[in-house]
Amino acid sequence: MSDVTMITNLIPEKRQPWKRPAQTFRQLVVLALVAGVLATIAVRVTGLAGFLGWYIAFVAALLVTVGATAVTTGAKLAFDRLATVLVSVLFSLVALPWISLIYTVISRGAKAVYLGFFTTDMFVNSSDDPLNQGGISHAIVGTLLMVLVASLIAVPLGIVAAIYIVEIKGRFAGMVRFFTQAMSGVPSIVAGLFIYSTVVMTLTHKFNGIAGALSLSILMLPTVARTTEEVLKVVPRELRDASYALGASQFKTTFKIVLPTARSGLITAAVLGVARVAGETAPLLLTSQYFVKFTTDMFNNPMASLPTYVFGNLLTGTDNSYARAWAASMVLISIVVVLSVTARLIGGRNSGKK
Amino acid sequence: MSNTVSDSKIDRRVITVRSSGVDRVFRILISAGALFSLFVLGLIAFFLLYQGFEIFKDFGLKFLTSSVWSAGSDDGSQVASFGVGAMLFGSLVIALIALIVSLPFAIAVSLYLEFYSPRSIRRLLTSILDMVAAIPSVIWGLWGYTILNPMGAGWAKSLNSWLHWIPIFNVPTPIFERSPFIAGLLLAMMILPITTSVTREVYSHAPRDQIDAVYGLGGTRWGAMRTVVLPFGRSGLVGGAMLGLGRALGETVAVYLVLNLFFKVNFQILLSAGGSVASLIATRFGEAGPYELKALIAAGLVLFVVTLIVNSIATLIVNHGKSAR
Amino acid sequence: MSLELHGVLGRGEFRRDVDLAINSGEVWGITGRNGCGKSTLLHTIAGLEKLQSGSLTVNESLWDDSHKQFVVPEDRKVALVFQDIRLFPHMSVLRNVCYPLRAQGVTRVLAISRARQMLELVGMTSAHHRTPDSLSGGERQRVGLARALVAQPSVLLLDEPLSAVDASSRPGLQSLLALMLAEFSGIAIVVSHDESDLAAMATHHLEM
Repeated sequence: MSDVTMITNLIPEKRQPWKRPAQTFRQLVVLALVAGVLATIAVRVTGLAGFLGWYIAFVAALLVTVGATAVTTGAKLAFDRLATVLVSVLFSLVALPWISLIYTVISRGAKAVYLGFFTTDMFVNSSDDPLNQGGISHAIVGTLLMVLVASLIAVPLGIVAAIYIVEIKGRFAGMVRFFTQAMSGVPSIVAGLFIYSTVVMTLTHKFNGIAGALSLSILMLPTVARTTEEVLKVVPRELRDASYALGASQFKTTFKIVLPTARSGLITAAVLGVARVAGETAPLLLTSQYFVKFTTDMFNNPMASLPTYVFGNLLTGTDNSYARAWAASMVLISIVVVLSVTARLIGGRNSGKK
Repeated sequence: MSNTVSDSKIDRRVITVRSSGVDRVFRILISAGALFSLFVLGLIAFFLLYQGFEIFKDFGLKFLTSSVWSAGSDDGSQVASFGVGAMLFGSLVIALIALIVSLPFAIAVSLYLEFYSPRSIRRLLTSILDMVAAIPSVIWGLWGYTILNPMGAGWAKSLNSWLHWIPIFNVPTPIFERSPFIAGLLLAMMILPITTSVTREVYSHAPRDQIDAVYGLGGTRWGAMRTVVLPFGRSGLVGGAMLGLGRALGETVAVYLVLNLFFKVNFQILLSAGGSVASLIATRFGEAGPYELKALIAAGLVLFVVTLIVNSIATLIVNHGKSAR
Repeated sequence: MSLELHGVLGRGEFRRDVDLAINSGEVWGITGRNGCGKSTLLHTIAGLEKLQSGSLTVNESLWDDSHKQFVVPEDRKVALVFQDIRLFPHMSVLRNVCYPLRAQGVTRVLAISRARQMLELVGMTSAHHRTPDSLSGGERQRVGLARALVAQPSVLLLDEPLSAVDASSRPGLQSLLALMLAEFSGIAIVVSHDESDLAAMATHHLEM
């Protein structure tokens, strides 16, 4: 197969069928223009309105135009062009909500962000107060603390479970594997319900940050375990054999050879787990609820978090509270995106190619 | 090295008789840790069953089929009656809508990323897809509530005016906001990244030599897609779809914001009346007394079981496809 | 010190009868066609594979009786240098050579000094902090040898030690190996398909 690739690289690019020479590009432009004209007519005639209306009209016209070229070039090529157009159009369509979401978050959230937004809480203000008062400091610290505690619980346990499955291959390895796979599908609200009924109702009789962290760790553990398992499996067994052949115990081999080799994958697993739970709302509604004051006390009072802050402000329903919700969303998305990108970068460095 | 027997696949640990003290401790500790996780997860399952048991004892299978959800009254004049029928049906409906809407897009995006996009921006696009996958559901819900809901209601109105002769698009009264249709649309956007990443991964392993063969015989790119990639990727697509389905079933906050709960089975997806078990739990949680709480837990159990089945099937299909490659 | 291996190697369809009796101070060179089981023999002695039948006894100690008794690799005082050497890619040369000592519980300071000595013996004095991927084939072989010898094993196993070395480095490496093997006090087995290599290094020969 590598010989074929080598030879393919020698052939000038124009020969590759999926690269379009300039002529076809010109044809496409002509098609697009024709479609545009048709679309304008269609919009006038049928009264389709707004951006979406134009979009639909243009797409329909494009399809018709491309289909019409079947007359000159034959069905096979026409189908190919049709398929290309369709695939590209669907792809662009998919991007529309994303663009809309990002745009809305920024445009509607920006006005609630001022200097004190990150340093004040909502203890003295209500959601409807003017936007230069109050902030999300309590939500940020709440998210940070609860995610941190959840990680401290879930990451070591997840890695240990993965080591058990891959390195030790114990008697229960199959069961552990099955359970972690199964639990990764737990609906987040069910995890919250579980912690509510056990910890909150029976044990502590209060909503607090620890309960929230516990519910998050339930969601984190399977993710970390499964990703770590995949990463450990990739470590070549030759390295393990070499270590054993030099007189190292399994313990030393695991901790000095296997884990360090898989280090970037492990970090990715942890970061991905964190990114996932940082945005969870449902379980927190049932466990840590909401609190307007900045606090680091995870035991004696409820705790705010960015997702619940967004949710609460949304439900309040006034203009100012909406703006606050959007602003907090902006912060939340930034955190989650930064985490995901970091995870990708760390994981990607080790794997080289995509 | 062309030694015919080069891999030592024996599991030394199984036949070991002498093993060092350090390793014994190591194995015990690791096993303890792993079994602890197993214990906790098992505890969750056990607990859900235990708490929900009373509900199933009192209502039996009617819990699954009845649509009435009433906590009764304090003086006992009205008896409590709980049933997730409408909610379960609703969950399935919106998940199905999400699946139907997102699947063509998932295929298109996967094909686009693997075979149509300019190579230079491919990594960028894939990264964007991964970032979108990370967008928290509450933000999707926020966007869905403020932006999608009004727009979707408008589309529903048009859909209704053109296609009201089809039963599911008919409505008894023209209220189109916060309907299963809109919830399904929102869910479709939310599950797209999951389905796409699984599908794309599978497509990336499509046999290049067969694709080249199609080109060699004078075929077009679409021809290659149709004859090689799509059939090859079928199991991955199904697996990815089921994973997305699982996610859609469990989604709580976003659905809570764009769906109006109504305790009757509703086929008319354009109408502002729907169900979702997760939403039910979130909605009723605040006011639930101890008995209703048990009912909510039982509902959670039902949801968990359904999601578990879907995810297991998905994993089986995806793994089966992987081993067949 | 002695090594006695009488039995059948391999797994499943691949079977090889072997009869070996080796004493310390002897260097046994093993040749044979590809696929005849030379590497399997080394793996079996190292404990990475199990005997199908028969037994392996080293210094009166039963390492493998092909049934219940099986001593795990880390409890055998064996060092195996694989054909592809397998230096740990995330460790420097020095840490690689320290590894067997550290694995046995030797303190860092002592391990580093012993490792340095070993690296000097194999002629790799200035490479301590380089990473394995920056080494040439010959350099890697030297480091692999140092790593194997530093823990003073009872049994030294070399699998095709000169196969990954370019022509210009071969003579030097061959002499080094011959010297180190001559000075090695335990049992040494070298597998190679090259007769000239074995002529230089081995005291006894076995053809499989």
